[in-house]
Amino acid sequence: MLKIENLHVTVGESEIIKGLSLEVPAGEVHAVMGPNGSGKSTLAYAVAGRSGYEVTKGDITLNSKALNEMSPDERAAAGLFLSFQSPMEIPGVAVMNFIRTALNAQRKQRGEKEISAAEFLRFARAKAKVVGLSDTKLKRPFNVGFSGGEKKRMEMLQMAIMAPAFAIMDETDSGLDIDALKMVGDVVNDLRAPENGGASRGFLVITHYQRLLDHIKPDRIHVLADGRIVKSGGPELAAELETHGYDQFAGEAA
Amino acid sequence: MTALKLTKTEQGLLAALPDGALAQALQTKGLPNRRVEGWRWSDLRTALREEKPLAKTFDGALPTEILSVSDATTLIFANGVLQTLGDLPDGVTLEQAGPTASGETNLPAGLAQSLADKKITLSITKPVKEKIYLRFIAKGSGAINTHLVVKLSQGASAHFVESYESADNPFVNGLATFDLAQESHLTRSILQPSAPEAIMVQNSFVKMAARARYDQTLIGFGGAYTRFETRIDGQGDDLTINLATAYLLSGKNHFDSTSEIRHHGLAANTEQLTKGIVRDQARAVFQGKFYVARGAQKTVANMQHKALMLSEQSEVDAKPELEIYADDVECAHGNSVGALDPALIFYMRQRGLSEEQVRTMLIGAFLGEVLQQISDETLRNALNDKIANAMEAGHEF
Repeated sequence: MLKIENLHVTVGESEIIKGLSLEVPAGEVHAVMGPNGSGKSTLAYAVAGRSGYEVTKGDITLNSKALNEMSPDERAAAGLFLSFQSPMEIPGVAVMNFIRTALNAQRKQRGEKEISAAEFLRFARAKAKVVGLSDTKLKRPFNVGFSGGEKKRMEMLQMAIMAPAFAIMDETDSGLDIDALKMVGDVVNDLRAPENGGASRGFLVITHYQRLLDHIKPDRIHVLADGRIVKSGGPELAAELETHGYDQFAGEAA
Repeated sequence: MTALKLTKTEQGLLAALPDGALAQALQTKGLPNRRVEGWRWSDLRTALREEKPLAKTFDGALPTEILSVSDATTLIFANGVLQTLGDLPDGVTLEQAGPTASGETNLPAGLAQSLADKKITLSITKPVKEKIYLRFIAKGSGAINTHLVVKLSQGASAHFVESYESADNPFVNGLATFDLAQESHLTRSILQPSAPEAIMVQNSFVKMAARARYDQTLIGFGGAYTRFETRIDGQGDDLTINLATAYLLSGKNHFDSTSEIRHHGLAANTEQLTKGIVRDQARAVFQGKFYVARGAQKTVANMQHKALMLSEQSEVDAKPELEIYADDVECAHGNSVGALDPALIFYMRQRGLSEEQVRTMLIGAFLGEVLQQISDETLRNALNDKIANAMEAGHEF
């Protein structure tokens, strides 16, 4: 599914990702944990194709399609979704208008039929209930004046609507209370359900804490330190990290 | 004082003018240029280096309507000459007279008065539902002058839709004066399509009596030189003034929006919003001034100018000014010039929109606030389409 091989990423003058390899097979959820500044967000941006995050070496493929040379929107059409750590506001553009236009742009690029306004509205409203956003919020300019928690709900709404082949969730849990964490779990688990095509879908969950992983059961956990994966293991690794912290990897990263 | 060496254009204009104050002003000062306050960023003298003899009669077929305005009477000015007109709506009369000698000290305005083919006076005596569409069509390479006088009687109202369409490289110079009696209401919705080789100056002088209302929306794409100057003399109490301008400039287009609103009466409510986009090597000029006289207490006036620069070579020059002599007023101005946020562009592209789609969406949203000023939905949509089409065509705004 998502395959990253010997990835090197430079931001400005500094190399942040220094030879990272990672493979998430279809149907699996992998978590990436690591201390601040270890390169977690850089990894997410590089995979999504943000300019300024220069891949100097290595390959990123999604379902064997090379992403490296694709623009961010081509990657989105290929099925890649990034839930942002700090979602943006779009003044003057209504929530529903933005999501529908974006969804249709993806569909068009994939050669699929565009979704009608009415059909979209029904679908989006149902998903909005799941993530806990009111109808009034959906009519507002996108994220403008929304709280941090509401913005994260908006990320989950888009993920639920777009039902991407592969989602990277960059600290979606930060700033969320326990109920909201459960909601994130519901959205992910719904997308993982076999009847919703979960067997061909993958997730990479970037987080500091174990608590989100109580709601989303990862198949593998990778520890990122200083731009490299320094340890990989099963779900039990999260608890170990919670107890012992990341200090144990300081030596390995250096 | 040493005599100014007149340019060819100035010499030609001087020869066409009758003796008098205007001719003398032209002779001693020349056309407004960068050394004159208010013209620093829009040097007309330089723009008119090449001589522009008085234009010939419009030749050939009129271009098809660029704006389809429903429920309107259309008046067409082709190279400054009013074409045959149909029936005017009830409550509207039109008179034509020869050009008037000018006492104007504003040179382009004075030239328009003196050199226009006819002085056209439109009198509006009651509320008029039907819109009045004024099409000013210019082509060729000559100088075209128009002089329009609009008078609204007490309680009268009208909606003018105006388009300033220039082909080739003419010098289009217009003066329109608006005299708004008590409780009258004039709405102007103005479109100026891109005219990359044309030079144009449009002066609007507005006089307002008590409780009058003036709503002006201007969508401008600029030209080799385009300047819209609006001067409002607010004499009465309780005036309502709305000026909304959107500019979209590309190529080497130049667009200047200059205004001065003078408040003399009590409790005027003035809103001025200007938003613009510049790309390529285009240049925008915004000069806005609010004057509030000592006796104009309770004036509420707000001036905002926001520009987006989409290229390194584009330029925006802005000069907002407040001159206030009353102490119990609420006056504010804001001015910001920025670029589209790369982080926002990435966010939107991550959701699947192409870079072009993102730009179109953000620019449309940015300018939407200006278009909201137009309450006539059909017209608003038509103008919105003009903007959308221009953006879809890429660099050819």
